[in-house]
Amino acid sequence: MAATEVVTREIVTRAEYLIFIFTASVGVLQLVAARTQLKGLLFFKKPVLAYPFSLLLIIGSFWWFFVRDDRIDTVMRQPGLEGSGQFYNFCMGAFAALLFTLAVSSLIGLLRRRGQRNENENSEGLDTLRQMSYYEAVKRNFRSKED
Amino acid sequence: MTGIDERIILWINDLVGKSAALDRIMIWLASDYFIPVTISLILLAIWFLGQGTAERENYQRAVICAFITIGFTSGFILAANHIYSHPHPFEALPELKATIAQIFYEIHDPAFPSNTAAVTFGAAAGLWQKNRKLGYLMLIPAVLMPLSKIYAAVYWPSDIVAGAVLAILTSFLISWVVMPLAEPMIGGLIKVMRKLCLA
Repeated sequence: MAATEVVTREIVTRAEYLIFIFTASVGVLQLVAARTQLKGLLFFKKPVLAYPFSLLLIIGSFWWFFVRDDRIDTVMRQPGLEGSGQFYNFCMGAFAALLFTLAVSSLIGLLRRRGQRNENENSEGLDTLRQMSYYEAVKRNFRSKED
Repeated sequence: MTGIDERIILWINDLVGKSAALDRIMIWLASDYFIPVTISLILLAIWFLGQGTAERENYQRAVICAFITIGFTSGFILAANHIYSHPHPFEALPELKATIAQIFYEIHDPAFPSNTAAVTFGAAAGLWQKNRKLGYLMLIPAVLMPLSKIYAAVYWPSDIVAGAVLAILTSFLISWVVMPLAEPMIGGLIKVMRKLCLA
């Protein structure tokens, strides 16, 4: 009996794409937060740490997705995810990255500010995150609505 | 048009294989993921950029306009593909088969109008409608990806021009008609996002 040759053609998987988008989006959010002084979103308060960390996430995720194992010469030149699938997965990955950033930065904010209270409560929207964590900002917004 | 298309594509494809560095750059730019993800990440960043409420709201409206433009343009491309189609350069000119294998892969989507150009120019033109500076910035990746697809013999230059023109015209439709009609929804969305400290 002739041996059946199985040809496997590696393609970009949805999971790989999601991990790439998630990591790159966390990096972009950290970079923008550092640039616009949205301290409530930062994992590292000091810019000297925040900038390299965000760039490491962005460059690292691109390297992992495109460069490792010569992927740009192999799987990247094969048909992979459809355009609509890419868009949907990008939204999912970026949304997950946003939730992760809000949760982690809020947790860090809570640990940092134990017992402290913010006096400047006039800002609104994203500007609120210049002075407090996301959790504190949303809590303040809904508290002031009840008052 | 076919004669001009052929002359341009053969002239550009003559460069393939001459410089390893140029081929490498084109492989990256033509990739299905590199430029689309870069553009999407830039749009994500723009949402959170801006100093002060007014500037940030302008940026966020620009991002919304870009997204709606991309969505509508993609719909128009699908419709156009049903009306007219012609072969890709690598199908019409067999000598280009080697070129595409070096840079990209043989796609099966219709060639005219180019959906690559439609999406990248849709992002740039959508942003431009609300913020000229951001629009011009986005024009860089918007031009590079379609250019690399011509280099790879995936699209004819006229496919790219048609996709870009369609995207630009759609951005005017979105900015002048759709955005004003959808203003209660867009204004409401920004208000809710601001309440949630995300805008």
